Amino acid sequence: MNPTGKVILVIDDDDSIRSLLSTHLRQSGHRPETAASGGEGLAKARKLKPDLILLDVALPDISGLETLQMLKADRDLSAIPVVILSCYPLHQGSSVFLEAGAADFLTKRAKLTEVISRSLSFIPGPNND
Amino acid sequence: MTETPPSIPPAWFELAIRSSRETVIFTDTERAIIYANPAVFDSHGYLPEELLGHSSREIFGDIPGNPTDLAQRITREAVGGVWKGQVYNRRKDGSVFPVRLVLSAIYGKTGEVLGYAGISTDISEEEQRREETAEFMKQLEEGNRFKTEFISTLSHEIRTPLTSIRAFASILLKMGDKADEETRKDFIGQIHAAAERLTALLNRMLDMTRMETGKITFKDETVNLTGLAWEAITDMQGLALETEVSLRLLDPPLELLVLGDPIRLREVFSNLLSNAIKYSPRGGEVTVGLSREKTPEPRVRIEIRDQGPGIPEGDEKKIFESFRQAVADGKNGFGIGLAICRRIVEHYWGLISSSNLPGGGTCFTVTLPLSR
Repeated sequence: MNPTGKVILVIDDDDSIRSLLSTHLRQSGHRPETAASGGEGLAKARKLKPDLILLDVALPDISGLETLQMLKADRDLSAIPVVILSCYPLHQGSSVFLEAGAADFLTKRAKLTEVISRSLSFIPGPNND
Repeated sequence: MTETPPSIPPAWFELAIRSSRETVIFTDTERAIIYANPAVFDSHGYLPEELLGHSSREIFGDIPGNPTDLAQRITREAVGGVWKGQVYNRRKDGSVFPVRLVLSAIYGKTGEVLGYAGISTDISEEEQRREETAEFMKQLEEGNRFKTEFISTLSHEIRTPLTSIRAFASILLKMGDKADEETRKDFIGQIHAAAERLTALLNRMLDMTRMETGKITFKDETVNLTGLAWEAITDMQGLALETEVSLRLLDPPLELLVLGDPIRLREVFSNLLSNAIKYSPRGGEVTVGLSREKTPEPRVRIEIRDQGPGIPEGDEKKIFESFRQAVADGKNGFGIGLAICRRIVEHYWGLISSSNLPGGGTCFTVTLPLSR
């Protein structure tokens, strides 16, 4: 295992997208973890203290925005960069998320590698690439 | 019976002709119309009075392909002075239709020709039915030919796995206890694989039949094609590994939404991928490209490329027809798979096509409307 690998939590209700993202994160040397709902995401975030969270806006239980607000309200988790993945084109609706503390707001229309490399750039520390 | 028949009142002859549903027209020897019965309105669109004095040939029959000078021919050539046949007539509105015509000379008491009587029947419905029947027969013949081809392909497809089942089973029987554990396992594995191939073949045939008879249902759901492609690729990795083919999803957008039935669309991917893997050489590569087409009505473009032998020239369309397989090289790629793909893709207003790549190999392209 790559010692520099970061723990990245992917919160998305689409099984195949979680699988696609985690496979590619693993291939680039990271340690992906996944959650299928906001609730599960919050629980895993508390347990794992990931280096980065990728958060889908449309979730079945609590919304992406609520999940983000709860992450930011938690003193132990508030420093973790959260990148929002949106199903909308461009930055439609992005301001609400950015004000709530999201590191970035990316559209799912973007390519996989673009989404991953952009997200990884928010991990603090010398070892990000 | 020797009774003389009752005499018919002379007025009846005219009344009979007036009441007839057949169109009756009398002309003089120059073929100028001197009488038409009311049925001419239904058949040709003219009131009888409109026609009097006009040349019957010019009004009804001046159409390329019709025999000319019928009147002269019947008096000159025909025994009994009658001509029967099919000609085309023109209606008042200009439309042309086929009629069955009986044209006879009207003889005077001394045998001189006074004029002509034409009785015509509109046979356009009959003609249409005849054409439909011919078309139907053609389709039947085509279907029959397909079925023959199908059965011969099918027999081949069934025979191959069946042969291997029989062969391995009979060796196992002969060896009895002498077969070591490894051999036994290997042979049973081969039998199992062949049986699986037969089952898959049968399932595909049933699917195709259900689609052809419209018994299959297609759901309309919003589906993320990227996810679907990834699932199909993950599923196919086993087959790819077995045949030493590398299977890659080229950097896709995370989300490409289309309207469709996830199970059916998944089938499209599975069919195209298994074909691509099967026809790839060992060590070859199969790639899946997904992109958004920037057309006025945005579409998703799926491209599946292999490094196989390519599709023989002229077969690019045929491979999507049922019961066909363009490349008959012994690999069990029964032609039904592509026909199923086409049915599914076309159901969602999509297109599927294949093209050979300049550097060798084939590219299958599917486009589907983006749902937003």
